[in-house]
Amino acid sequence: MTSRIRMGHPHGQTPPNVYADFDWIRRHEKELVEQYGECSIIVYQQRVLGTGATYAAALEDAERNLPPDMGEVTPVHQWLRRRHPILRVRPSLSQKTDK
Amino acid sequence: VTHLRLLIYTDPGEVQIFCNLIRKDGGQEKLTATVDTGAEISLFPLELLDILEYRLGTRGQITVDQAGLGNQSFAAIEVYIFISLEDQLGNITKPFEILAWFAETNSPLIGFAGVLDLAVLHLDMPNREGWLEIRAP
Repeated sequence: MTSRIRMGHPHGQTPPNVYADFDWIRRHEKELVEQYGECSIIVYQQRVLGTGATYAAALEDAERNLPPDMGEVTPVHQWLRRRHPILRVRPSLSQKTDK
Repeated sequence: VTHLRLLIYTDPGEVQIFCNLIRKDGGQEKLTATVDTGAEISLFPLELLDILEYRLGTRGQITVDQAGLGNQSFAAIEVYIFISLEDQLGNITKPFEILAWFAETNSPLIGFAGVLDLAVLHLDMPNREGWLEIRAP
């Protein structure tokens, strides 16, 4: 069966959903990570089509979840990740000893 | 020179750029990457090598010793790939070849080698604006 999910695009051709979908993922990253954990995610028109441990697994999941009446779609893929702070503020050793 | 509008985010702060990486099927894989002025070389998730067109760098498999706060080491594959950069305003570079590392990461980074080396970076966080001016080869 031919896939209805198209991830590769000719040079200079960006489907209209692409920019908005990447931006939507970034702005909803915290909620998406809470819901799906750290994983690969496939999003089309601000709707999660599939997730998986790998890009390939997420694509397979999206293919399964695609409504039968939907034609070819041009979703985006992103890696959901928790953002680990590199700086944590805590009382210094000298402050503790002063007490 | 191509002027590209960057994606500016806060909480946590991050500057991203739209990238197209050339796939084995001839199409372009679209992704967003963090513009990282601490990265010597651009870094991408290893699993992308399954779908991307690439040629191995002379060093092939390497171990990268990070000199940052983490001071950790990680394994990577050094390859040449073709990339083009674009923005949501329709500005786009021609595809050009860069040396990049592919490793077990879920955080694509655009670094200096072949990209930021050729660019002027403008970042105006109070106004949430950023631009990259690049003369792609």
